[in-house]
Amino acid sequence: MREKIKTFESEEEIILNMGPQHPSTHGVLRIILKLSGEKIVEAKPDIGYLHRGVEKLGETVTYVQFLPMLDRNDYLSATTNEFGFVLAVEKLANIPVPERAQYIRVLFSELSRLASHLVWLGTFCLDLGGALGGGTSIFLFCFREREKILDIFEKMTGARLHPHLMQFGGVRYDVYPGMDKEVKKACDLLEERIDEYEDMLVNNPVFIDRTKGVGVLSKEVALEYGCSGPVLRGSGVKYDLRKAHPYSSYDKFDFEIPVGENGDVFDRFKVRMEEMRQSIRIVRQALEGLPEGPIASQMPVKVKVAVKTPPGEVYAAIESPRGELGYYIYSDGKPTAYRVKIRAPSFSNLSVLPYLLKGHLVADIVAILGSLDPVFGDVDR
Amino acid sequence: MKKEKLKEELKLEETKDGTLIFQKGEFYHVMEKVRENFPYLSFITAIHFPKDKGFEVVYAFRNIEESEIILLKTKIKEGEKLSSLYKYYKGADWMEREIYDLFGIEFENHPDLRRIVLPEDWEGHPLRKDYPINRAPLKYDYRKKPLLRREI
Repeated sequence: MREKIKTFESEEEIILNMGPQHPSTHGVLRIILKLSGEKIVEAKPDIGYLHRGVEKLGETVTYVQFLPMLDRNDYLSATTNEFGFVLAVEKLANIPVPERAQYIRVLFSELSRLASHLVWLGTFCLDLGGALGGGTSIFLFCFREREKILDIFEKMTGARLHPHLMQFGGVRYDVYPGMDKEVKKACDLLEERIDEYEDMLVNNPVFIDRTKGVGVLSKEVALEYGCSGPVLRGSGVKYDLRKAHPYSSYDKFDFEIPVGENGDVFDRFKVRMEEMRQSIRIVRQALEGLPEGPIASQMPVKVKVAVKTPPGEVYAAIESPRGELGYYIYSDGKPTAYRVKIRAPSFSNLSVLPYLLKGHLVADIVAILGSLDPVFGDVDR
Repeated sequence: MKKEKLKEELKLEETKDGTLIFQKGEFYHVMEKVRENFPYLSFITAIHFPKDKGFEVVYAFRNIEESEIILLKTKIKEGEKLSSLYKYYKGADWMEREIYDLFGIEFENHPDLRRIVLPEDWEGHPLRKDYPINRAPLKYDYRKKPLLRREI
């Protein structure tokens, strides 16, 4: 069907400004497009509308104060942001983490991966337009399912979006009684619903037309630009930090890394759908194998200078729903870091956008951008 | 281990945390070897040391097949330029623009070096240690242009 579309091309090039207040730029992204008819000749993304100077803040407040701020970075999967930072500080300061705490961390970071991918699925389908099950319906379905996960977060920590679950040396909250039943119920429901949504989408000819063969990212280019997460795996590179550098007992869990073949929008969609199923598997294993014992190696911190690190530098990275989320800390022995660098996965994934957009139609921008799944709190920092 | 091999081949020093140090003058020589062994650029960042009047620029590379990570760093003085990595890794484009924006380090042979997260007319480079952080917020008044900053 794509071949049948007649596109209008002209000699004259026009410049079109997309965003920053555009409904399908997932926040605040501005793209300056150079068009020839409907074809994109050149695209220049303009980021920074959400720049808050998080890295500078990290140099002025102590580690303990900085931790809850990180929740606001990648606001769709807040727990994973803390996860990377606590791992980095623990590595630098040699703080042990009890096994029960490691399992709770895994459990909740997988739950937040599910929540994040659900938001992605909803907004991606919303961007692609009304043909997918009648406009906003799949968007609302996904948010309905996400609510089940957020309820668990709320019962556990008291907050839905910014839970501040982790602390240095463990987690701040233990699982509440009856949580395993609730989580299992939510997992059963999700498993069923994910299959349902995938059936609904892959059997929809409009969806296939708009995603297959669009935004093809080859293996070599993906590596060249430093893409990570589902974007890299969609291009056929089997690389997941949970398997490659297992942190926090991930080596004890049994799960698979889904990979795509062609590296187009459809493959990235497939990879994320499969990842949600694998996350459910990990959540189930974490619940079943949850060891007994303390949830933290230190008392909950009440003093803001409670954690000090020896002088030195460290880099720790985790696999966030968007890819490699890493923290590079340079410390001079004070309770405040001398320099914190946040290696944001969305930043590197988005930098491939000008390459991907070249030669596509204007209508494909939202499909390609949606498939990269950037979060602008993470891109701009 | 590719890291040990690289360290021996290039005769690099290693810090106690495992970061390799190379001299600024050997940039292309080192990076060519790194590109062969570590084809994935993870991030670039910088650290400002106002006492030494200089910066450390840190590079992190990965080898996907062998799941290995390597950190390299080099020292430059304030006002000095560093060569761009864009020739070897396309992803360096935005990362170097970010460093240029927030630290003011310039990169030679970069295709499009301009600010990335801050506005084009921003003054100063916020991640430098001497950047003042206790100033009053900007007050915008559409009748009085340009922006006025109240002193405290």
